[in-house]
Amino acid sequence: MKKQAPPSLMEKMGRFIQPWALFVGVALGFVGLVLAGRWADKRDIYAGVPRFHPLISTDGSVYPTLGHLQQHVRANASRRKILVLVGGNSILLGVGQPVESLWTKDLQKQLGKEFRVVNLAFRGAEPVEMGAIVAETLREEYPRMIYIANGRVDSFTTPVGNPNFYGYLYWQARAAGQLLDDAHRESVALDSLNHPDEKTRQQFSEIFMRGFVDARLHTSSFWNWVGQEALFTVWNVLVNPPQDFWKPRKLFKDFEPDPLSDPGRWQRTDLEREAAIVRGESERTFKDTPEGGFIPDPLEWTFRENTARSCFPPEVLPRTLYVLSHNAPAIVKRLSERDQERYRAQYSMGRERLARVFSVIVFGENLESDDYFSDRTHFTRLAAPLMAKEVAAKVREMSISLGYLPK
Amino acid sequence: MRRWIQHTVSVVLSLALGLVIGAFFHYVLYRLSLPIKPFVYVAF
Repeated sequence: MKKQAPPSLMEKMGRFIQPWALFVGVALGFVGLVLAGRWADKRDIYAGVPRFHPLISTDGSVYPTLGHLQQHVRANASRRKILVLVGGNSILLGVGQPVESLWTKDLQKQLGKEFRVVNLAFRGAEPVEMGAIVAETLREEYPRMIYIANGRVDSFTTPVGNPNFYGYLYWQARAAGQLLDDAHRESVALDSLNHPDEKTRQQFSEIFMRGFVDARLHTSSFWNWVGQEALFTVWNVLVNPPQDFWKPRKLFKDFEPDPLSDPGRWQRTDLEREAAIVRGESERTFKDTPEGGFIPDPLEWTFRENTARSCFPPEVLPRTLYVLSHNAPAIVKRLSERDQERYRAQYSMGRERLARVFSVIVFGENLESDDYFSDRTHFTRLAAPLMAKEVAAKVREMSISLGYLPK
Repeated sequence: MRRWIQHTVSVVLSLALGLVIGAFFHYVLYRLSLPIKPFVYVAF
């Protein structure tokens, strides 16, 4: 007679497990964390943070949610104040400025108690991303608000942002139903989801799903909170020492060094490469003439102006301030005299054309090398108060014209 | 009596295992939404 084999561990466990209790547990566990995510979304997990340094932004595998960014604004700005919401990229984030010399701190001092400045700039973010989305979704809570963005004259591409980097917040806000109705933006969003190129279509489909999951199931809200407060679960190359990757991100400080403590920093910069980028930007908008001069390309400028206008819902434009900043003189001086002239003409026309869309200031025309980090665009602590002063003057002017302040 | 205790323990452990699986499923959705490589800023 054949001897029966003893039951395996899985069989033993299977006999012990009550299927109905298991399914109830799965449902309770999942729904419990969805509710916990809703709760976490209403907390300012970035309390006391003056800017989003690399370990609490995408560089550090943290993708702040719309809810957390909104809570950060609410925690830092009373609705009785005029909210100055700083978006844009690393220039407005203050890369090149140690946290104690951050330009938005100077901006707050310049503007005084009637205003509240919140820095929601992120490295590499486009003007329509991150801070712009938060500003749009908080429009009713903060009727007196000015949104500041920055970039080049050609920084406007699509109103839905880049699906690979910061576009995720647009799709999250869209899934949450918190955006203004904007027929043009919606048509771009739908076109993106039906894009003829399969790879692009897939990227947008993924980010659409991601937005839905984050907005409805609060997955990032909960796990970002866990990562900030208790335990970070994703390994990241920027954490030093690497074995500390699991430590809660609230323990990591803003480690932006002061570039002015390194006087040899410009020697390591490829000035020719940077100058070629600057030259290329102005060549795209001012074409050569057979006589050796240059003229603005009317189609290109009209395209840029119209693209900038169509990237924002119309209601947002009057309270948007765009900062066009000059490149470092160490780089501009490497251009030929003719190219320098074309470079200046590009800024002049950029100011004129973009000012038809929203308020614009051009900053940094007469700065010196020490006002810049060791690249063409970022400012050191020496330029921070200068930028704050110019931006503050424009913000005050806008506040009067928008009726936020008496004339 | 012993059978009743065994049943209760079985229900509690099944429920606990379910809670862990549910939480894990929530975490998997979070991890799936993260890009494989983080967007590390170089220069713009």
